[in-house]
Amino acid sequence: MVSYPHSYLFHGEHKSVAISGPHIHVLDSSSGELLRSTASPQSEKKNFVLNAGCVRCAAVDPHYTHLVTAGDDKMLKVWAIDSLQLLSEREIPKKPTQILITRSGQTIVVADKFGDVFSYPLTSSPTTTLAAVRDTESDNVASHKNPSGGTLVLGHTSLLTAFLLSPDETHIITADRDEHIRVSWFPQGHTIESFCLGHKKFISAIHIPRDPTVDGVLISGGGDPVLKVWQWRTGRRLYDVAIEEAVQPFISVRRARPKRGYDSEGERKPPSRKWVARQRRRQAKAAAGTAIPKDPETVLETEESAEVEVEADDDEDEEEEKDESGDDAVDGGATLGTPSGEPEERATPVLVVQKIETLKIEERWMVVFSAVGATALFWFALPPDPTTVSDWMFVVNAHGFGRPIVTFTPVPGSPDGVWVSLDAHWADEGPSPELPSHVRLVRLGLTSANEIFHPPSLLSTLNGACIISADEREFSGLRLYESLTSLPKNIDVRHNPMIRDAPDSEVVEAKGIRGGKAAGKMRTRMALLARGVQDERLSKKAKGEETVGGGDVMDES
Amino acid sequence: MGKRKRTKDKLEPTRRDASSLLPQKRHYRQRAHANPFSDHSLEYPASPDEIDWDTHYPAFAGSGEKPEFADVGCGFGGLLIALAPLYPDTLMLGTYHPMLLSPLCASEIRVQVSQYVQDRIAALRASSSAPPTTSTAGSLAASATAPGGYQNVSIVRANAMKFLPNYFSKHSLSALFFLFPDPHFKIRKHKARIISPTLLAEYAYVLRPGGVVYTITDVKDLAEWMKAHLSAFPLFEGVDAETLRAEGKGAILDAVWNSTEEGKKVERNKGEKWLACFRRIELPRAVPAPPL
Repeated sequence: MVSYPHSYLFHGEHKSVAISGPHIHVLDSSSGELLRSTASPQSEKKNFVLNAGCVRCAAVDPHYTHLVTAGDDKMLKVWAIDSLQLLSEREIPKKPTQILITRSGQTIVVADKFGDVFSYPLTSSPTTTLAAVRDTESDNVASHKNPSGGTLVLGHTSLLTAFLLSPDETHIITADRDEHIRVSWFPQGHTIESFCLGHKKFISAIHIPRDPTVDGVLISGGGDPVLKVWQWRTGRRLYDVAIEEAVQPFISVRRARPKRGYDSEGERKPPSRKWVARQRRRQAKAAAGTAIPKDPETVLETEESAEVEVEADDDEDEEEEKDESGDDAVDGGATLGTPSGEPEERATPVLVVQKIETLKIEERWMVVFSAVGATALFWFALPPDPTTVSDWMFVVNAHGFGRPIVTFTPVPGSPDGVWVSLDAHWADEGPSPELPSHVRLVRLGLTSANEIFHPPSLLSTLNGACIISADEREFSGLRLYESLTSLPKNIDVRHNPMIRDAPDSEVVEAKGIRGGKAAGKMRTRMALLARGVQDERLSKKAKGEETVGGGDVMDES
Repeated sequence: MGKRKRTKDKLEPTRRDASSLLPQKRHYRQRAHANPFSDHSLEYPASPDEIDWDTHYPAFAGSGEKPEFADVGCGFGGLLIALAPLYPDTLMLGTYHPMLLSPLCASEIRVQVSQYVQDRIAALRASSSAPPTTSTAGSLAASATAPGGYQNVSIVRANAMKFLPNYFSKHSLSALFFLFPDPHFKIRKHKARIISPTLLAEYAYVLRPGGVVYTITDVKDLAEWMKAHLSAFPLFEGVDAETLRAEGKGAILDAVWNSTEEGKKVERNKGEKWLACFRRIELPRAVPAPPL
């Protein structure tokens, strides 16, 4: 029997909230007593949360009065933390990727898989919502329809992976799978202040250090081997922190990208309706025109025609909604390099930064981060002055737990303590240690960490009463390591169709191109090349006649 | 609609002409749509600082000039080719026109079409810069432009919906063109339209205040859509054709109206066209926050 790890831990001064699978627990921070839980036998909400499925996103307001959750059922739920009563339930347009509540506690901001950010008032009034919906339905220029009358703040044409508000809440910073970090005004997202550009791979975590002395600094991480530190108001990159060397040895969950037509478990997926229809069309065509002679172009296996194939593929996938699942979005690209056998036993480790936080340790500000599927917590000192930064000063410390980290949260009050939630059931080939515990508490030092083994009562409750067992199917529904396969792009960018080989008559002859499009293209390009050679000869001649220093025709313009 | 076939004798003369340097469109046909949401195997710069514009505009190498006009979804490149020769003219008139002095840049997502424009620009550059002794038959381009023409146009294959800020830095453009964009008729495809409230923020970011967005379409629904969204967006305000002509942008408007392949097709079919232009305005931060 497996049990859900805690996917979110919120530690307040008086109350704490833990989310495990579909369930919500409210605990007393000091006594560790379990105050409310949707999983308790007397809870009337038990079936309700089970039907809704796992909580994907959750947020708590600064005063710990409200909890907002959302899952794949695309319902935004507002809970009163004290009573664990459901205050409101609203439909959101797409699957959410992150939720935030403003400092005032009155506005909920939700980012989704389609790349949009909507804001909603904390209390929903059904009358205005209905009116808003009716308004947009009759309007044929309406875009970004929102079933609950949410206000559109901004949108990317890419999956939004992370976002945050600046400490003064005048700006919103959004990060996406296509390497963009955008800084826009908040709540008027129409004006973009800057872009922080420079990442080569997706971005999955951003953080503004809590250190009040460093102003306007943003830390970002994702698939790149470095964390990047920015001045977010201008988009200027300050410095990089190399983390790959430190993180790599701890990445123990490895997922090969499932082959096309196979699911993540390596099982054959049933063919899609579209595929069946396409097959039928092809068969009909073949039956009608029996042996269709092959075009010389299709025989010619240039990279160009391969690219066209890919393009055509994209178009056929066009019907697929970008937001249906994270996996579909990456499907459009080339299917190059997929091995013919079963998914590889041991895939190469993929780095996905999971969460970045700052913490004050012995009067120094430290950046603490974790990676998806990595078994350690990492931290390094944040230099107070970016101008004094050099590469050698970053020593990334690691503290291993033997289990992949699901989430971590610093404990306010004891500034150097961190709650770490682990996937206790995950097992590698190696010998599994004794009793797995879901939550551990560590005290970070400047270079090393000490685990606290005399647990406060809260820790024992989190590891005891809050642990809810799940069957295998429910557990796999958590998709803890999905981002390892859904975020990286599986496309071949080495081939740029705009950089083409110089045309060569010998190549043309060798490949036997005579008629058709490819040959036509080749001919005009060869004519152009011949003209270029001719021009060069002429200009050289002119130069020779005139004396040296007669400029090239191109340079004069 | 069936494919039109041309007779062979019609093709022969053009092939022998000096303008055979120009690529032929029929060799670069490609289906009209590409899904803007999927990951194409595109190579794009991580940021505008990483682009070497010198390779795009060899004649401007070292000048630090950056594109000021961007034609998003340029198709076969008609607008660029029409606007390019306007540049020596303006010099001759002696009126300094900063907008036309700078290179133009087009983006297009379809491979074949991008390659066509690339070849077309290369051919035009070659045929217009060649010494007079070599241009035998007086090709169409050489007569129209001064030597060294078309040095100010280039093309990038890019997904403008995703990567526009990777190419153009903040407030670097003075004109953006959306000419006969993909109409995406179905309601569920409206999200793929190139004009949307969320994308307008990015267009406003790359355009400098005072810069102009030119839109034209032959689809009435889309015209209404574009107009509604651009008018509703706080950073754009509508500007009519007379005002733009008074500012000396008449030639651009004519090119927008007539020069593109789509525009000519609509003309041939006696279709209607809707032109709408919008100016990027500045908005102070002091705007009262809307109630949330």
